[in-house]
Amino acid sequence: MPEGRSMDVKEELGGAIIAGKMSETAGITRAALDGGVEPAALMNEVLIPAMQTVGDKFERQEYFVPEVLVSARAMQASLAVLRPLLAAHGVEAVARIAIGTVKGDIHEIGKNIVCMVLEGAGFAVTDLGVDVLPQTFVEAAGGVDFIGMSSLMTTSRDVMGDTIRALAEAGLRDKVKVVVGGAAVTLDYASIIGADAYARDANEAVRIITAMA
Amino acid sequence: MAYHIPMPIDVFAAFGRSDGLRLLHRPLGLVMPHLMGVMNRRMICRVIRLAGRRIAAPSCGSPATQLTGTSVRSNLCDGRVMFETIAKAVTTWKMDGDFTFSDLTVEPEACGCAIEMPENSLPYVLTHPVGHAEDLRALRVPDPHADGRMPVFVECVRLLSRRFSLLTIAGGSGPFTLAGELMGTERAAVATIDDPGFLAEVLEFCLEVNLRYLKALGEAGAEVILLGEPTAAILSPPSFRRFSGAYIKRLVEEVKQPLILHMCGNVSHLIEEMCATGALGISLDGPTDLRDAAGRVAPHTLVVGNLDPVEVFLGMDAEGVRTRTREMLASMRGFPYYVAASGCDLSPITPTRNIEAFLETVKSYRYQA
Repeated sequence: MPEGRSMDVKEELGGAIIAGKMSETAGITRAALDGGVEPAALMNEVLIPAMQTVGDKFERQEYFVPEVLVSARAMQASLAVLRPLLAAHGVEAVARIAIGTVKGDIHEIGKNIVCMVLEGAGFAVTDLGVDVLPQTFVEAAGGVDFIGMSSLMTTSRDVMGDTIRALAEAGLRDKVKVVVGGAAVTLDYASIIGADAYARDANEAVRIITAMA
Repeated sequence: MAYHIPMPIDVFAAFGRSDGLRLLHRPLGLVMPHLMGVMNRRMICRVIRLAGRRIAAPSCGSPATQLTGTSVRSNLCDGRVMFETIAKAVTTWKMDGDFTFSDLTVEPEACGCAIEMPENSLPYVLTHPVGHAEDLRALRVPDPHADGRMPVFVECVRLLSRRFSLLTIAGGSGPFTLAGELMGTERAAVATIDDPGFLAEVLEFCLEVNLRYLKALGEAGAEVILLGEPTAAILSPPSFRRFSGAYIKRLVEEVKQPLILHMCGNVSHLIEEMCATGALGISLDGPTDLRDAAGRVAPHTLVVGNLDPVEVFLGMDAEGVRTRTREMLASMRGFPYYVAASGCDLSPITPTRNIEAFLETVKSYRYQA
């Protein structure tokens, strides 16, 4: 693909992600690949910057949760096309992370946004879902670099501490970094339970985890 | 103002039942509105302005179970148990009003959502029955006297309003929040962009559910409705106006009792939209800048809030609660229509001494309107 057309299709894909046009992004991604654009170039030069733009818009209150969700879904549609090609080209994820909402809590929208935004930042994300037992986190810890836990209920947030203790008992505490968040969690609480980091929202999660990766 | 009537305690009792001797001791000017059968925004604002002290209204149903040794679950399933717990809290803590427990699963459950009810935590919704238009058509508006646990709350309100001359405040779920439970929150959020027509149909149904339930609570004796609309906090101002505010406005117009609109999280971007619903007051959570919000509200709009339920009530000791409460009260000096409260529901495991510290600090705070 000539340089000019390559730029056009990248801009088109980035624009479609930012605008949340989920039905278009997979097609544009295929067209770009057919035109000879490298998968890694699309990831690094389009998907990651586009999601950074979405995050910036969220911080400036130009975007709110629904807008972030549709952009993230549009990004995921593109990523679904790219992922097998990235693996085939030996492009590795920034880091691997398993995320879940802890046992006793089924709030998922914040956790889902963090998952999608991290994927958009180049992480390999395993979504453990909601109502997740400490043992499930421990089982996932063997294959990841980070464990992310969310809790929006004060009555279930202590499961985070239980999980950190379970990681230690399994001999995995030094292998993974633990990041926590959610409305029931504060920076002080994260410190008390021995988490490595606390993230106030999805943008902060990406910044902190990227810095720690 | 030609008259200023100091009322050191129980200012809300001025609007209470007329069957108690306590009313004989109330200033006539404040009793009259109740005897005339009128309860409106200006009168409530005037009482609060003239109270002589700040009113305290922490959302403490769940932690009150510590006073009665009951489980949260038993309270949410039995109107008399809930009434006895609230009665114990009112008499022990000398509350300024009597509040039902906050439970945003009541309406979804009555509409067919499966819920999980832990023994000592608030319940949550497990299933979201509305995927398509035909699912919506299959639903019927629940009967507040027969379906799910709506009768539990109706009975509790009835018992509270008979027992106490305080203002009885009943909780209900907002239309967008109910739609989020029926559809799934993420689906409802995305539908504001990619399927607004269907979302509007769901919201019309939710409005009917809200109207019928809130009217039943009013008929049972609720004098103010605390409408929880936490899910709408994720919306932009234009989306809030279209998918939440417009429906709440219709509730305000059609429900006789004044509504206080509660939203969780940081809703600094929605203050004007919340006021535009015509609600009597707005109730704000810890992350929202209370003083900034108070400077932006419509005239004669109560501002309720917002001591952090997690960081302060749960995470600090009583002295810390006192300090933070005094700071909050000081920051709201100059705003007459202010009610000191927790930012959101207090956790069932909130230390009772922290609730007592909050109430004592608010009641003893020297305030001049």
